[in-house]
Amino acid sequence: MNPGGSTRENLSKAESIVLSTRLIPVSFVLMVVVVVHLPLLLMKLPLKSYDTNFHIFFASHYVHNWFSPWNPKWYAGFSQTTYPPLPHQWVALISNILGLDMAQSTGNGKATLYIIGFGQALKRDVQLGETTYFPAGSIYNADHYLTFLTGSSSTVSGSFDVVPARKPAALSFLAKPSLLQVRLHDGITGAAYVFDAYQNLIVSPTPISFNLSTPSGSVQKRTVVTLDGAAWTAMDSTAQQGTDKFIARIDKGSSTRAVYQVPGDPCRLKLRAQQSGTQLQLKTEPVRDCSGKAVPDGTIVTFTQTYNSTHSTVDVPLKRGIAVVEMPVHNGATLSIASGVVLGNQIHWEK
Amino acid sequence: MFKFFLILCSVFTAISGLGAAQTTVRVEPANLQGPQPLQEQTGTAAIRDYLQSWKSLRAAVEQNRADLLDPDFVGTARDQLARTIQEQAALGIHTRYQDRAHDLHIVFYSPEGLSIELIDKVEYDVQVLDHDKVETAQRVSARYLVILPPAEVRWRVRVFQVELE
Repeated sequence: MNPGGSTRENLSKAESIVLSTRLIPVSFVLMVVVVVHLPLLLMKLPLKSYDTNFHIFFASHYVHNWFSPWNPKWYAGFSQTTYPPLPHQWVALISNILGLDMAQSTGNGKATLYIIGFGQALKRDVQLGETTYFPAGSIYNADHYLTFLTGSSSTVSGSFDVVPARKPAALSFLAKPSLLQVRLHDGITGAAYVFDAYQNLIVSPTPISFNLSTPSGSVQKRTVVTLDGAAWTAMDSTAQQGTDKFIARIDKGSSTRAVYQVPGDPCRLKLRAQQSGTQLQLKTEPVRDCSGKAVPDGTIVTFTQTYNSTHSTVDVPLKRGIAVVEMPVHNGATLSIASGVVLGNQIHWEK
Repeated sequence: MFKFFLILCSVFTAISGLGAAQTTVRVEPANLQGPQPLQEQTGTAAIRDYLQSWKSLRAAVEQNRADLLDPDFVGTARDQLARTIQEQAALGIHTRYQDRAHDLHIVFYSPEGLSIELIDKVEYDVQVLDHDKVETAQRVSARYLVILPPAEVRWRVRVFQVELE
């Protein structure tokens, strides 16, 4: 054992402990801070770190409003004094020399902001470090937009999509035909597209109500949900002739088309002939379709007279359900009648 | 039903009219909603006219001339693109688009035959020029929804808007 030696060792340890408790000079601490942070600042790495933009935003406020801690751009107004004092003021002060880029910001110079798409093109001069606002409704066409900010030395770019509003505001409704025969199954078709208030096609599923109503009050109803912005339906033409209303309806809007339903083609044609002086009057009986309804006026009926291998033809529209024509009298002539694909009776005229 | 679309993922190329750059066009088989069968000639014509509309679009936004849209665009799409061209001209901007690839899929043929709807997954390059100085150049992939009604002798684009995937 060597108690003396042991005491010397202990003393030596005590001295070293005393030495290690000496204060580190502030200048050394600042130097280390500079050595560590300056390269990071020059590389602008802190700009991508968490929370930085938030503090840039506060510092930027002091750049432009040094004496007011009230920031009207944060929520509905916010007092920046709720944060510890001075860091934001320091950044604001230093930014006057280095710019907010170096003092933790995107800069305090000027730049140009572009927003470009097929839908719209916008360009704004902006102050770096400040928030740029676009009023509601500034960008309203659904599209993919490129956005980029060009400063004196660099360009930062990105992109975003504008999508249609969810609330339908307008319909594009196509219906066909506008005139058809009664009693046709799925004879009337309609297709509709739904748009928002800015004429963007709404592609999210949206219900459309289709109604076909007759003057007598009967209604056919279908509700169809859009797929890729489109919906379609088919309706039966009704038993009665007349003008039906074909309506496509969304939440707060509708579009109406008129569909005229008329009797079908003539079912049979009956021709009568009567001499009137030197002329022969040819006249149909009232022309009806196969369900007994009068064929609409305007339907063409063709009268043909064949005499000595020559043909004389006259097209006459129905008027009040019948067609009438006068032709020269020829003994031995053959008279016939047709409308569409329907042939009527023949008359052989002999006097 | 539809020979053109039975050839799954048929790939062919079209030579663009302006830059002679190659555009790849891929047509997927139609998966139609609606009762109306789409005839081969109808589908081919609609796609041909839609691809033609990109040529008009490229020329119109590069030269800031809305009148170049007239043969291929109608209604909402025409008005909207014409406004964009007006905005570009007012700002001293013009844009160069070059479509690189189209992946087309017809999704709706309306029963009365008055509209065709297709989805185009398109890839294109865009350059934005401010007073003839290129400010940015990017390649973009987007999915466009297109509605084409028939006009006198061709299909024209009435709705042309991006759709999120």
